[in-house]
Amino acid sequence: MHGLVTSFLENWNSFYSNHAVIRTFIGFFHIGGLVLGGGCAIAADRMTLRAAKRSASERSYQLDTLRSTHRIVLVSLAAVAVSGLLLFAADSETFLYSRFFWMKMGLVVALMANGYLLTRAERRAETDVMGAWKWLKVTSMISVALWMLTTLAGAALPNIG
Amino acid sequence: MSNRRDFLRAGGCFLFAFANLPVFEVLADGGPTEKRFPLPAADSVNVDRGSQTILVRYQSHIFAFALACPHEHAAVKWLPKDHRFQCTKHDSQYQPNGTYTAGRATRNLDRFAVRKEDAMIVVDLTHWFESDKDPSGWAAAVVQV
Repeated sequence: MHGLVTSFLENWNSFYSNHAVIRTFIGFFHIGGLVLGGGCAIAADRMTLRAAKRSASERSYQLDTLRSTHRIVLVSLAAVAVSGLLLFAADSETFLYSRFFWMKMGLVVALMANGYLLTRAERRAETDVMGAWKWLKVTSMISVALWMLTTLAGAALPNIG
Repeated sequence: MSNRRDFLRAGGCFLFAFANLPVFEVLADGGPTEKRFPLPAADSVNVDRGSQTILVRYQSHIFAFALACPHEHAAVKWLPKDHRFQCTKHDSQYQPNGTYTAGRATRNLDRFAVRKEDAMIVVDLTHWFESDKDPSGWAAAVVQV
């Protein structure tokens, strides 16, 4: 089993390193997914923070907007995850020993956990208005910070290691 | 952000998280001046991430390279199938003896001064040679076995 994995990683490492078009597309899916998913999520977070101070009808409209954002964010995150796995497999030795890689993975897990709390608060906001909106505000602020920190960790990865 | 307090709260969260990143720790590091490796018995590539060196035995010669590509100091990786090093950032390529063959880099992989002590290879981490500035020093940074 170990030999099979090593052989796959060696072959993929070689294939990836020798094909600029493949590298370009994988890089595009990774960064493009981050731009699309993170962009939509941050825009929705910003609108949530604005709506929290507005009327009940505006808050209700924002809840609809939030619901429609989740699918885009999830599909984008799937693209980021698949391309990220391929990037990892192309240089597993470097990433396994990189603390920025593990920091980035930790931030991604935190982002997922925060997303789960955000959707729970969103569901509660339909009935228990004020308490749930407080949670929505907090999770939205954390979401913005986590998206930016994940991007920072990703940017640091090839430079600091 | 709807008001100043929200902005400060979000900014505070971000700064708190950023302050915990070990960015400055990894840049300033007074590590050991030498690194000792067992003499490789056969042709091999041994990456030591702690000292940021690559020890190579290739055709009865032993070299110690800096792990960082001379172009923008990203890590280079070893491609066993292709028998070469390649930079992970801009794909500069190098032979097993560190000679540059393709890509954006403008010189060979930097070599550390190495010597043999019994069955050990000692890498002097304070002395390295850049092939464009000191070609003879670079060429001499090798142990023959």
